[in-house]
Formats: sequence, structure tokens, C-alpha cells
Amino acid sequence: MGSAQVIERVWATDIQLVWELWTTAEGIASWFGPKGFEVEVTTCDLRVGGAFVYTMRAADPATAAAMEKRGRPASFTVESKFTEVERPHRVVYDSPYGPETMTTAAEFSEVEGGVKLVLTVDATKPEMLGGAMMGWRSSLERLAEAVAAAG
Amino acid sequence: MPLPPGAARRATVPSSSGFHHHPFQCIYISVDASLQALADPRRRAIVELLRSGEQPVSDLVAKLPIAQSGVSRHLRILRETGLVTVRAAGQKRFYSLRPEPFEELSDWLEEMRAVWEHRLDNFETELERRMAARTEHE
Repeated sequence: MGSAQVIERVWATDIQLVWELWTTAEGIASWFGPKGFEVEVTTCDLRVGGAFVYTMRAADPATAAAMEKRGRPASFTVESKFTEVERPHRVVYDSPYGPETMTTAAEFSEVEGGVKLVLTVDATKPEMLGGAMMGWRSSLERLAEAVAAAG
Repeated sequence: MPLPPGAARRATVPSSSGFHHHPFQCIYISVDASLQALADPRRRAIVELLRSGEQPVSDLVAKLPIAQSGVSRHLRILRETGLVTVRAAGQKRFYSLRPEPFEELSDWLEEMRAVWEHRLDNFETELERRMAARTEHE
């Protein structure tokens, strides 16, 4: 679907702990920030249509300076919304992404050896693309190769 | 928000210096326009044909199951989005791909993945810390 990125991981733990870390304000704040950022989750209303609001702040002067250099604020708030909640197996939220919406879906299943995560991050609305982006990634890879070969 | 059909036609030529206000560290505004332009299978077919190199419009029309007016319209959209460039030689117009937007798209996909890989490493560290803390309490 679209330009989705899919990442899978398996952790030797129980699904309740994974779910808590992934879906509570305190849990999310403990791991969500990209390198150099701290995250404050102000709202985490875990139900369909519930708000998921967080603020990211540059955690050190070097990161703040790097943001400034790129003309971006050192702190910003993202207002997302939960669209699917099936505890403790699936949670999906939509985030504003420029004029579009980014959809992040996390699916947890109990497998041998622990809990498996399948994370799908999709920055394009399927209805906008009408499923037309199938095979898009491999096509892009070939394009990149062709461009490199030509360059 | 899905854009109305034909919105890509109004897309402006991308600026590689524009960034979105977004957690992902470095997202180009032009990626939106590129994805939108490439969302149409007929435009992707044109892009695929141009992968082998510059081609005159007449060759593209001959190879595609699209009327000449359609090919012209899609080429115009691709050009306005900055995905292709055109060169006139005599009566002929030759189209070719511009590498920059494709590099941007590739970087963007990679970056989106890198941010999440890093987050999941953090997640794993936190998970281990909590499991260790839980064992201590027992």
C-alpha cells in the first residue's frame, strides 16, 4: 500500500508490557523521541477517535542549533488521532503530514520466543492513490539504479 | 486530506530547500508533489519508459496505450512537478528524467525508516530496563 515502510521485530517479553510501553503516555515518552529529542505526551486518549498529542523538544543545544540551521523550531507539537484500538494486539493512529496524513499501525502477536511487532508507516492515503502505488518501491529502486548508471 | 483529481497539475516546481514542520528530521515539501504525480499509473508508465533515457514525444506516444493528448497532458504534469525535463531540437521535443526528485524520494523513504529503527532500538532498551526492574521486585 502506497509508500509504506514495514518493520518487524521480535522481543523476548510479554504482550502486556509491550502494549503498555506503546500505548500509555508515560510509556511512549520513554522511547519515542528521535535521537537528541525529548518527548512529552500531553494527551493519550486510547480509543477510536481519541487524541494522541505530543511535543518534541531538542534535548541538547547541538540539536536545537541543528534544527535552527534548517529553519525549523527546536520544539513542536504533533496532534494525532487514534483510528484503531484492539488491545493488546493492534493500535493505529493518523498524524498530520504536510497536506496529507501519515498512518502508523502497530500490530503485536504472541509468537515463539516472545512478542512480534509488525509496524507499518504509510505516508500516503490509499484512497488518494487508489492502490496505484503497488510495486512502487521496487520501481523506485530500479529508477535510482538507472539514474546512478546514467549519472 | 485527499486532493481533488487534477490537483497535481497545479503543483508548483519543487523547492529542495523547503522542509515540513514534522518529527521526521528532513522531509522535503517536494516529496508530496512527486508522490502525487507518480500516483497516476499512466504517469508512472511514462517515467518507466524514460528510465532508459531521453525520448521524443512521438516515441512515447507510440509505446503507450494513451492518446497523444493524454500523453501531452501527463508530460506537462510531470514537468510541472519537476520529475522530467524537456529539450527542443528542431520540431521535436525530447523528454528525460530529472534525478533530483527521485533521489529525494529515495532519501525520504530511507529517513522515515531510519527514524523508526532508532525508536525501536530505544523501545527495546526501555523494555529490557523494565523487565529487569520487574525481576528485582519479585
